[in-house]
Amino acid sequence: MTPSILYTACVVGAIGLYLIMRPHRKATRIVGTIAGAGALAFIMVKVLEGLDADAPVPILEIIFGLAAITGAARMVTHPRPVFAAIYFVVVVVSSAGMFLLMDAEFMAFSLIIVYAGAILITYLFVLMLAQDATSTAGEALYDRIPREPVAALVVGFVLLAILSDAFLLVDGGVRPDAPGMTPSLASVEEDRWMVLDGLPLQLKETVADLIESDSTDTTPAAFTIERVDGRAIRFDGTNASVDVKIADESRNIVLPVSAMPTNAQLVGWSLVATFPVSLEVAGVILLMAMFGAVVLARRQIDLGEDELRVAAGMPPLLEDEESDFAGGSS
Amino acid sequence: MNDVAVSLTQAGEASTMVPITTGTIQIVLLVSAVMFAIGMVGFLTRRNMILMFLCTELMFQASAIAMIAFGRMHLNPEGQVFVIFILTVAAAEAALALGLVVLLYRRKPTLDAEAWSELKEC
Amino acid sequence: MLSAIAHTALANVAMAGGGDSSHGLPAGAPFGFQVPIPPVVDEQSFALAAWMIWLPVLSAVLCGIYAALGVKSRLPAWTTVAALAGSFVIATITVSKLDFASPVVVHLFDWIDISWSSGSGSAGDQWHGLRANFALYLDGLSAYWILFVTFLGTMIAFYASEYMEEDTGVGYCRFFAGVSIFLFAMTALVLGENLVMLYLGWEGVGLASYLLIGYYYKKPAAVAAAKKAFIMNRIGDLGLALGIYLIWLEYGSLEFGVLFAALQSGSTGAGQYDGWAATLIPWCLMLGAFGKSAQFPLYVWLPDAMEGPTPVSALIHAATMVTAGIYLIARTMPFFLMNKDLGGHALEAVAWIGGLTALLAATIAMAQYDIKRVMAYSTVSQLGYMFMGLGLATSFGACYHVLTHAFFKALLFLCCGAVMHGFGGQLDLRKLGGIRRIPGWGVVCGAMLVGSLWLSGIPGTAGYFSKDEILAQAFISEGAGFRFLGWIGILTAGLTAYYTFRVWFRIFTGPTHFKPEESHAHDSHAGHAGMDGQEDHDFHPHAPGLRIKLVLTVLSLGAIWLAIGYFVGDVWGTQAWIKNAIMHSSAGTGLQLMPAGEHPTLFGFEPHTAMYFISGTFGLVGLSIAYWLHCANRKAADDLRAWLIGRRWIAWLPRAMEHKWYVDEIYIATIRFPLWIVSQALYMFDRVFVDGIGVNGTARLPKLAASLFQPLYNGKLQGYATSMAGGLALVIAWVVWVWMRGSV
Repeated sequence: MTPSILYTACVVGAIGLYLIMRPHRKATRIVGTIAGAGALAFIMVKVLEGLDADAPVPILEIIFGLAAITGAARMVTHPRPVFAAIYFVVVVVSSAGMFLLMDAEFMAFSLIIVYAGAILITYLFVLMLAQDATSTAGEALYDRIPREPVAALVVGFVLLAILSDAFLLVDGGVRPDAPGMTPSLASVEEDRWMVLDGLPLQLKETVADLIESDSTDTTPAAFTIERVDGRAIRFDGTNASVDVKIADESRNIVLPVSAMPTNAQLVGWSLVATFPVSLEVAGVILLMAMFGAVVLARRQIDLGEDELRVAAGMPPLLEDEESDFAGGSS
Repeated sequence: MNDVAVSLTQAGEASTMVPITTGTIQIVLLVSAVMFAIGMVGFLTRRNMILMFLCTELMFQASAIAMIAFGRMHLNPEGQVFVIFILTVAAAEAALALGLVVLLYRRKPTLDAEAWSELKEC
Repeated sequence: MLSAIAHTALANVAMAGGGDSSHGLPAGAPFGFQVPIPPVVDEQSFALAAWMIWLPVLSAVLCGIYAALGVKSRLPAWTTVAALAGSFVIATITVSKLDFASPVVVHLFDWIDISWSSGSGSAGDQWHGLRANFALYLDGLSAYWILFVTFLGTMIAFYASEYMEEDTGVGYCRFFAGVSIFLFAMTALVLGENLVMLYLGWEGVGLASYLLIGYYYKKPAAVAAAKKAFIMNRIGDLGLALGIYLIWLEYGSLEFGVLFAALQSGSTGAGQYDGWAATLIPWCLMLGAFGKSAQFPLYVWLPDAMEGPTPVSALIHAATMVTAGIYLIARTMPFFLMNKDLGGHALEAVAWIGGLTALLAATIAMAQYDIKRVMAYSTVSQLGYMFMGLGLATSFGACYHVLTHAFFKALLFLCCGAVMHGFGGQLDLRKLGGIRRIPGWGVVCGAMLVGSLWLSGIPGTAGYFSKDEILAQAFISEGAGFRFLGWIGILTAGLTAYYTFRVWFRIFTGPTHFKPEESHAHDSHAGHAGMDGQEDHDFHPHAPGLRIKLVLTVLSLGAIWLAIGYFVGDVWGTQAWIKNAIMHSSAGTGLQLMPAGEHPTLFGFEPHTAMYFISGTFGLVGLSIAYWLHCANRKAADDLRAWLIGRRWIAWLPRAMEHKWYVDEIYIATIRFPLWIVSQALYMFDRVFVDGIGVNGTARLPKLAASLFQPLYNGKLQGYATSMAGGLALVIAWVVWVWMRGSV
């Protein structure tokens, strides 16, 4: 794939999105959808073509990605805000699926819970609140007509072209098999064992389970884990083992791979051990956001004469050309 | 002792440490870029204030996907940690933005962002 | 310390040219100097002389204070008269103590004293310097000049105290402050010890002249005349400035003492420009002199300058300021003689331009009806005589004529002023007549008769003697066509007699009739509109007062004394005294050039003797024609004019004379019109290129750029967001395409 093909596809995609944006023209919307999807599919095919022949096709990722992109495209083009919000749910769920495929189960579910469950509901709530007052018949004019779509599409798709260029083409794109890109598995394993080392309780339980399954005794034997320089787990490149002393008898217990910390544990460890200050700051931000929301929402507005008249459905005293927003419904 | 260890390793427990394939990451990053671009286009074209903020959430999503993908590629949990922070910011932003929208909506009963163009000089 | 070194170096430079003085030239007489220039004597007993220059300054300051205080009395006039009289008395005392044979420098204060090195600080450094102290140079020439300047200044200020009485108040203060400034500047010009001080005075009198011509600043003609005088003088002043600069370049000093010592030793200038001293300096100085003294072609400002009050015309534009050019050339006569000796023609140019200006102005004066303008052209004509005298190398004749002319021309102007003052501003000689018989006008009539006789050069008058000195010299000196020039001068003398007495006969003889000037009549008779056409019905002229009569009498007596002085011995104001004074100054180098060998003759007589008869005859003939045309047969002048106009072959002559030979028109066509074209072109250039493309175009660039980007700043949130995203896209493009890929 050469950059010119990629850029052409981006242009086609932009045209497709522009056609979808056109209000209430089914034919153009279909053409736009076909163009956009075609461009996307074309690029995906080109990406897969450039791979080794025996490489597996990431079919699930493609499905979730297409779903997410479809939802996103529909969300930014749908004339009715509530439907847009619901399409955003599609995006969130598809993203969560991709998170799962990326072995980020914890984030996938928290995404669904936080986004789809909390944030989206709030949006919908406000949308309903505002929608109820103005438009009783159909969607508002400002929801149907996109604002300066060409400029926005040019900017957005130039950015897309550059980003996808960087992801897919520059130096062969993002390649995990390139030297230095993926750390050696041994070092990753060591890191993870060290995380387990930092969790003494879990380590002890794991070791206890291992001893229990290994011995024939029904009663678990008392044991202590020996630490050298504060470390219990020793990793020799392939196996991690722990020196355990059971009744003055030293044993070296090799830890199974299944004893490694899970993904959620790793994230939690990283959050607490590596970014404690950031975590605190995030908490403060949330607190402040809550304060801010309360302060903003509680503020009393002193409406002027014109605003009151407009709110009551009467024409304003002074016809201001800036205030033609009132033509909400048509 | 060693036998036990070997046997455990050979037991074929699902390892989380398989390197991601090139095709997977490129597809996922492409999806992320397209989502980001669409989110930006949406932010620039939608006139509804609430939907504009929704489009920013879409851009957050796109960057979160990229974070997760890179974290997966480097076999590093920190990508996911950043997604947590993104979620934090998104939640805070949603709270404040929606408060602001409510405030503005009380002034002028419209969600049109064009109604608030007092920065314009003439 | 530094200046001392510099001065020594300057003296060396100045003396460097003296090395070849031994080559044939007798000591004390290089370049054909008639009389050696006496060296400066250090004399300390003239401290009082400083007040000659400070009293007018004091008076000017006081007049300014009076104006600020709103004095409405005659105090400014008395202050000025007292100061000028004091100045005259001090001048008298100073001159009485002065030995003409030893010039004195009276040091007032250090003014300009700078020096600098041209080299790199090595031993061979050349030191340059400019020293111009505020000091007075008292020798025969400056003593002679300062005496009549202060005397006439006092007299005319006294006269003006009555003449200007209508303007009592701020205008009065302004007038007398101007007169005081003029006297200060004239004193600095005449007494200045160096050329820088002379230049200061030169510009100062120009300023005073400008201020006083424009005294009636609400009158457009006066303002225009003031500007014209100022601007025409600038042309001359450029020449003077260049001349002074060249003198400094060549001789390294501007002090008269050093300069004359260098010239006396035969130096032709030690500057790096060989020969410039002798060739260029006289011409530059001549240009300056012609501008200030109203010679062709720079004379046109002087007739217009009559828009000023008449005392100003008398003092500045007849008696004193316009003689500054004569003074300058007389003072720097050694340079001209050096030019002549080295084969230059500067002196001949001076003579010829002077002679031709005399003839031209006389012909114009014959055809003018405004009496002040007649007098103005007469002044130009007489100044031409003086330059002719200088050019013929008789500085004595020129300076003698300066003095006599100063008296009788001031007298004539003051009489004209008295007439104008008495008859409601009327200056047209056709509308005046028979004033002789009006009671109270006897003194004016007599004084004007004296002035006219003196100006006409009727035998026995002072003008006759001084003019003869010049005219006879034309037949003595050797130069290009000097004899022919002499005949031109004689013809001009006849014309002078004619136009002078034309005025006198027209105004003072014949049937008595007068009309006030139009605007004046209109003002004073506004209430009687519609009575009849006889405007002068109830107009009563008022005879001049005591002060005017007194001044006229004193000046007449002075003029008569000058005539008597031709015959008596070495007393002040006599011919012998003047000759003595001129001889011992730098002007004495060209006192009266006598060629070696046989003396030239005129009709077999010695030229001076012959000239007594010839010029006397011409003067009397002119007077007689004037009598016949304007007194005995008053209609004959009009008949003659009509006859001349009627003949095609001669009709151009009276017309051209009445139109002043179209000189103003020629100026307009040759200078003003091209200048106008050029200035219009430059104006268009300024409008189109400088203003249009340069200034406004530059201003339009940001505007254009703004109009390009203005749509982005529409006040819409998303518009700004678009710009922001575009910027982000560009930054990422930079990163990806340039950094990551290495090429676009």
